[in-house]
Amino acid sequence: MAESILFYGFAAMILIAGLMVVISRNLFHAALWLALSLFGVAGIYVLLSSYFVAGIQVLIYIGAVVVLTIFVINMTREITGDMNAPRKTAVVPALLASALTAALIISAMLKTDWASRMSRAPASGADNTELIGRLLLTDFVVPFEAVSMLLLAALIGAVVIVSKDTGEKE
Amino acid sequence: MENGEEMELIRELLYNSGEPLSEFYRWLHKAWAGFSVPPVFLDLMIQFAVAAAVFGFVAVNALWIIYYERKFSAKLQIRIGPNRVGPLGLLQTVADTVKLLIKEDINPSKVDRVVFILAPGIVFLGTFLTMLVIPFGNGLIAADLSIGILYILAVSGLAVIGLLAGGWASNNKYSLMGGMRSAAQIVAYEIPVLVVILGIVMLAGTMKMGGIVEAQAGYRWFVIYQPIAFLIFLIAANAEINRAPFDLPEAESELVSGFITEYSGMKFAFFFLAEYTNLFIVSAVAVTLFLGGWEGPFFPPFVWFIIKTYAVVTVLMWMRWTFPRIRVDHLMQFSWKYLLPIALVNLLVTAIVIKFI
Repeated sequence: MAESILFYGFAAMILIAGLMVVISRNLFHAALWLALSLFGVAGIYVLLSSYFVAGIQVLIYIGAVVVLTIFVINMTREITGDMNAPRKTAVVPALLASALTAALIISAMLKTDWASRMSRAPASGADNTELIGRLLLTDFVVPFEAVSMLLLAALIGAVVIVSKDTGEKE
Repeated sequence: MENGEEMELIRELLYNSGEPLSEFYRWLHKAWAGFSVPPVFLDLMIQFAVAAAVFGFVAVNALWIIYYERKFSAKLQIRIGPNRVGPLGLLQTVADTVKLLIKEDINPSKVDRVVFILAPGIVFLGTFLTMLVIPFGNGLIAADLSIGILYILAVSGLAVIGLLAGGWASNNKYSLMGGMRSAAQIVAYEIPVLVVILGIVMLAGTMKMGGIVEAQAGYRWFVIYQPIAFLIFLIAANAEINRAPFDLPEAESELVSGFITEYSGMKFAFFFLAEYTNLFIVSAVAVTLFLGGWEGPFFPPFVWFIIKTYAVVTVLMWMRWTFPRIRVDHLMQFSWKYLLPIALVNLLVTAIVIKFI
């Protein structure tokens, strides 16, 4: 019972915070709501006893993604107030994009065979960090390395773009 | 006879608190079963009691550590330091805290009120959550999570959001600059720390805080195997808690006080509390990862843990009062061009040694 109370609590937190991200006119507030929403997702992972994934969720998404988002917002001209509020003309494309994403997620949810997936999941409460590590370096080593290469390429690309800008000034 | 048993229990609690504590826990549950209330409530109450104990420790420890810093810096500068309130000035920080708490709670009119009030809370939350997995002794840990050290890295990132929020909400250029600097600094120095900790986790074979200490049993402290990692950790950790020579986020001579410029009274007290608790936490993590945690002869484990932690705290204070502040571009270069490559090589060598020896 306690588990379902916590689940609905976290789910409500994710949804309400997610909604606030979209409707809040103040970009900085939106970023803070985003952090809260991602924190709720970490809570769901804890309920699923995926402690490692929960830790990584907080470390990467809140500790890095939201921090960088806030960093960028801080660099804009007007630091408080609604000057940076998104334009209302973007409503139609935004709705279209969200509808497409929602359709994709819902179709994936309907197609998934939940029963057989559930039976293959490791026992709840077990420490699955070791299992994740083992799988990443055996069965999933090719996708894992591919993602690493992609991230490395993005990193080097960003450095190259930035250094070209400063090079022209000198 | 009974007296002897009691002494035995106290001895057990001092030296190996895990077993008697869990016995007490089972006894509580048995007693609770007499009432017709679900045991979830008892567990909740125990959790609250543990959290309250940790909070109490945070508050008292901060009082003492601030006094210690003031006395220590006075020694280094050939001054006396606080010596008026109480014997040896011991009650100085208590008086200061009371003053801060009863001060008027000022919210400047141009600030973003909600975020301005929230920011010190977020910073303190990040610090407080980290305290929960510090292993003071064998079993003396609020929650020995299986992802222990990863959890510390994760929740300490919450504080960055608090600093950025405080800097932004103050609507003040110095505060904003301070917040930005602290975020850039913490993100840059978190990476060497992460890489260094990876080496330790590889050596210990676990991320559990208790497990890491147990892996060093028999005085095989990881500082012997990973001396470079220890140095990198100390330097980078010092930068992460924004202390001199890495105190650019609140550099008095450049930014007034950085992100805390507009804060006063109670809210300022929260930033201050978090700052000094972070100093303790960083030292405690260094002790857990490199200096064998609670291990030591004669004294009970938690006494050793406190002694070692305060030794590291002293080294960090010594660094603070010895070196001048470094420049912001040097700060970034130092992390990305020196600490990170050295940490990566260290990790690679550790991996090769573990694999082949």
